[in-house]
Amino acid sequence: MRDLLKRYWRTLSTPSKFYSLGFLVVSGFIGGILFWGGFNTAMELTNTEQFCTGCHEMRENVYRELQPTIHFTNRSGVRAKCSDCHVPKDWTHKIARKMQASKEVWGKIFGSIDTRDKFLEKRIELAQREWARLKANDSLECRNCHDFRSMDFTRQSKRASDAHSTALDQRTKTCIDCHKGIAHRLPDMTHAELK
Amino acid sequence: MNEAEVVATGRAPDVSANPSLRRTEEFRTWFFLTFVMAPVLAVLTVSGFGFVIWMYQLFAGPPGS
Repeated sequence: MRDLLKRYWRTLSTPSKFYSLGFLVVSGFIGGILFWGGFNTAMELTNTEQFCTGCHEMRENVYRELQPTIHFTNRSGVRAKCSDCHVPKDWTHKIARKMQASKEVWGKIFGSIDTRDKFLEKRIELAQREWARLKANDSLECRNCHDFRSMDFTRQSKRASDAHSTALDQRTKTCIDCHKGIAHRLPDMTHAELK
Repeated sequence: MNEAEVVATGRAPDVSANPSLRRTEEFRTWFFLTFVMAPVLAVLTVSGFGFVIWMYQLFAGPPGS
């Protein structure tokens, strides 16, 4: 074994005798392109709804709840899929989010929300994590579609335009502060404090 | 270098003297580097990067806060 390694190390560390420099460089370049393409394709695959709802935890709970909301069915047919709200678009944070998903794999393996009851028990924790995330990034994922500058207050209800023209405009509040439980049902809020 | 020599000197046989063996080794080395080691290293680097940011966020809170 050691001899084998030594032999290959020698091959590796000396100039190639049978392969031209051109071939080696070009094959490395093409391999790099193929790899990066494949990598991004695989990553996009993990952003699809099909992938997210591949587990019954997502399909039976959050995905089912999303369907009657305006983010899934509406008059214009524009809709949000899981990753539009739950995966950052920016590359660095997307990679970080994909790594965080390893915790979800962990949860899947050990069945932390594998029944409806377990999910309902845990959903306050899961929801609070998403609320904190959206609060911190000023509801970035909402704003990817909803542009404040394009909001026509005259076409909003009085209650909506009152809130949007004051707190949202002055940035003292962000979307998620008021719009909780709009795409999935709210957790049990009986113990929530009124702030 | 024959086998007795290998044992005596403790050095791997120099295959450069044997062109067909050298050719096979070069091909295998090239194949391993291009299709196994480089992709694995790249995936490890990217996931390591993501993991570091995740750990950082555990202390610093979610991005933007």
